[in-house]
Amino acid sequence: MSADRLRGAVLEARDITVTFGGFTALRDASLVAQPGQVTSLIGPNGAGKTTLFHAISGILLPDHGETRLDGRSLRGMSPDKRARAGMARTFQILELFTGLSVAENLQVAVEGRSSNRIWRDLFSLRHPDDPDVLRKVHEAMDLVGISDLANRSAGSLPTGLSRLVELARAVCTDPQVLLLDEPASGLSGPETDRLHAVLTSLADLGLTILLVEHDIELVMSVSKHIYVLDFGAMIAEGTPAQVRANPIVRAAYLGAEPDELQAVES
Amino acid sequence: MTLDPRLATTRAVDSGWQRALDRIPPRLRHPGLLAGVLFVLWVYLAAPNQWTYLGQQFVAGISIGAIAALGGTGLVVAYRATGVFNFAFAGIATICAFIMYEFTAHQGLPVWLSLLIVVLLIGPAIGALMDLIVFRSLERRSAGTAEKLVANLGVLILLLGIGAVIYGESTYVPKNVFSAGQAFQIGSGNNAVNVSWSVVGNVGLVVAAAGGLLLVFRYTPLGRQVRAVVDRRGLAEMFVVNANRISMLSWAIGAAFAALAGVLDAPVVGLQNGGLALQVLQIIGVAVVARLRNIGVAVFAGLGVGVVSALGNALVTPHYWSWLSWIPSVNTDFDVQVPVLTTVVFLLVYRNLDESGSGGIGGVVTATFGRIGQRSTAAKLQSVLVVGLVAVIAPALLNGGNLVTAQKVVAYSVAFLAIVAITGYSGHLSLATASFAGLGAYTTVRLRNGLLPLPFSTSIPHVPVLLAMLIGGLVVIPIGVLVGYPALRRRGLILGLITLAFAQIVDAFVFQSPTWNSGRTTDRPNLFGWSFAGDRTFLYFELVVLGLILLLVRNLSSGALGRVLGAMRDSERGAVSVGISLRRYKLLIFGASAFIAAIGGSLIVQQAGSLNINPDGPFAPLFGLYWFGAVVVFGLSYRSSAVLAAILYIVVDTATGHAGSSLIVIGAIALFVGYMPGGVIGTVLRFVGGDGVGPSPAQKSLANYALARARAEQAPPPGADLQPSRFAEGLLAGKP
Repeated sequence: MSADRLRGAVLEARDITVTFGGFTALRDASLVAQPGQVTSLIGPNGAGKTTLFHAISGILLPDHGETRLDGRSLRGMSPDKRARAGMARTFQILELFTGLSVAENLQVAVEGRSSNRIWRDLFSLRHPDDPDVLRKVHEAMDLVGISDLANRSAGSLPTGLSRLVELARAVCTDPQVLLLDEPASGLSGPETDRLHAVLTSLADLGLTILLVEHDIELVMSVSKHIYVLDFGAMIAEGTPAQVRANPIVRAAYLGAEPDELQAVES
Repeated sequence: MTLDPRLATTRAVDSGWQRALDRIPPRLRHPGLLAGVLFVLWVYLAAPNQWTYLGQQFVAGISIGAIAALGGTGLVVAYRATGVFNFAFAGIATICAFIMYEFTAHQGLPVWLSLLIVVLLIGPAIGALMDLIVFRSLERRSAGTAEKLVANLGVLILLLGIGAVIYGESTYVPKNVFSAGQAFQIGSGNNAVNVSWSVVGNVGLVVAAAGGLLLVFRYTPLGRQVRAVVDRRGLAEMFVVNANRISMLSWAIGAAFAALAGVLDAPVVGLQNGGLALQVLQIIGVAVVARLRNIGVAVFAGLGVGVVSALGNALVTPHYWSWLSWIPSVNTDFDVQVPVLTTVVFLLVYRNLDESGSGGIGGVVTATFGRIGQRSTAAKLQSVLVVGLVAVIAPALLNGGNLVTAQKVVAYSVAFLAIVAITGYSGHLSLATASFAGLGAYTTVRLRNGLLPLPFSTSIPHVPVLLAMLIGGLVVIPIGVLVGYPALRRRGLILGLITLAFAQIVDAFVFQSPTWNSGRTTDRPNLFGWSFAGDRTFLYFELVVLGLILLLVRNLSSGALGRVLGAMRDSERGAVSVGISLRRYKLLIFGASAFIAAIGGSLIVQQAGSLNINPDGPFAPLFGLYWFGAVVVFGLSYRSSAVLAAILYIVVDTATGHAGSSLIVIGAIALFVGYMPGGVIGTVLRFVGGDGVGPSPAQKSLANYALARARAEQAPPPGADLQPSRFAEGLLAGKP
């Protein structure tokens, strides 16, 4: 990966409110993620983390509030336009193209944004693979460490590997911002270590990374800044050390799993 | 800052309409009810002095509407309890109407007894059998919605196939269930409105049946159990609810209602296999208005649709609104057009129905191995050469009837490829392929006869067939794109229903309209003075078209375009997350599929020589379902399955001499597609080539066989390593 392609952007979510019928899933939630670092969003189950991701990436229309990328408002932009504007994401519930191979999943991510091949492919006899596309795909697979899966069917992979494929697919879209929804769940120990290294190196290359994750150890070690969401509202933010020390956070989230917290502290 | 965050998000209400709407009690704020009230106002303004006549029509409408209400209730019950939209209800209604006819006309049973037997025994038995044979095991395997939907279509196709083989295309006249004699009068003298026993009977049945069901659902333990099973089957079973019993009961009730609707409808609309099923399918609109959920709404929607149709007919027939007649197709048959329009309007108004497990049609399409195991260029070239050689030689060997059969097979193969493209490659359930084909055929014959494919008799020069076919394909593209628009936000069942409703619209407003249907014959094409009129040359011409379309369809599935469509099929969220514009590709595939279908339709009509638009003609709405079923059983994502489906569809009918016998085969296989992901071809390929993860069953058994043989060759002959026992040694030595 050449460094010039990994220019991050400041991601800003402002006062996002989402309601489902009478239920308020998010209430004026705001956050800022800076380029070149990992920003994490944590909170108990049902706190609204994935809802916020959906609102930021445009899958869900918030009742009010907006997302900004380098100060530019993305209001009214469809998810695919946001993706083309430089926002890539992975999903908590996997959204791989299960009928395609792993390499094809990544190829689509490189090619899908432009439509200049539609008509050529529709009316020509041969459809050779673009070497530039293949190079990008292999770079992304190398980066994430899934090169040996290239020709496997994406539908046949276990959850942990599928998450890595989703990560590689997101990287293939030349993103400025990466939204990762629980990328470590289902990963084995060594795979999590690998993910840690990948995230760090992507951030070092300049990308903006927003991470939702339940693996507190990973979050604490990889993040520069952490936001804590509970019952749809931001209850705290700060560096890992500040968040760890915050009594409200302990009560709302970490307090629920004292063993885990101690493990991190020790 | 408001305390309740919801208040902050409510938009200021200041429009007068909005305020007026807000005054209506929420329970009555149903768009269907509002539309009905507006319609009655309209009627009042249009014909203020015709109360007796309109009253008579109103009563007739109530009677017809009661039948629709019964059918709609059956659909809602089955859907609520099983999560499967019961397309088969049209088949059950038809078969039960035929059985009723047999009982009353041939066995001499009294009508009341036949009615009891058919509605309380035979209908429920069909429903229970459907559950036992098909749906219970699908449920056990946690099959997806799509698999159950296809199985259900299978039941429909099977039942209508049986009807077609036994009763053919003839129309029978069954006895009325209730007497047409007068029960009582409303009003007196010249203003009297007669109410017949059949009206009383139909309305009484609706009130009794739907009311009873509502009471059962709301107030009995059984009703609670049904709702529990619908919500969470597994969980309900843990609390000792017998889910099997509940779902069997629901299928039985749904089937009983379907039987009742069929038996009551048959004397009104005539008992003809495809015709009655088509009439009954219109009842889908009633269930749609009720969002597939609410029995009460279904009853009122049924009555409302009946009344609106009848009053519409009343207003148009004496030409109160003769000024309306300039609008083509409007002044024909409201009985058909109102329910169909209702379906479309409500499907579009409701962004989604109360769908359980909505989504794509993943389970039926899955064919990962097809793409992963890319064959080498040499192997591909080899198969192309073999197929090409067969295409060149085979027509020379055929003659007479075989040649005609082959022509039909090739024409239908082209049309079926449209289904492979739209459903197999991009994951959209479309049940309207036959209608797109019909529109292509229609355009061809109109242009050929020097008429525009529009409801005007303006003469234009006669267009050569080849050009007419091409124009037909191109004209249908924008129509396909239009139908694709709802697909931008909808998938699965609701999209299937929209496309089916489109098929019904094409039939009701185009094919059945007197203003559209002149000029229906065509000859065969002609290129630079070279005629393709001969049976063999026409077959060669068709094969060339098939080859070109195959190439187009192959291009839809390969290269960057194929990957993008596959991505869209497998996960729309994933696709947008990498920046793919769903709109562009969805509209592209809908347009392309419509084009392919139209070319196929044009070939079908060129082969036949004239366009048949009867309910049993090749492009009637039900045929879209048949075609879809035929391709599903072979596997939606294979080009070869279009050809195999066409062979099955045509050859079985020709070989048995019974139109519809292929439907029995297709329906029977479709029942079990849930067990064969990727259809027949997918299953065979998986057996031979594996699923991309491990060796296939065939590879395994071959390997085991080879291993066993190798061991057998190395091993000493059997028994060589046995040591004789002491007793045997003694025997051999001759000692006792």
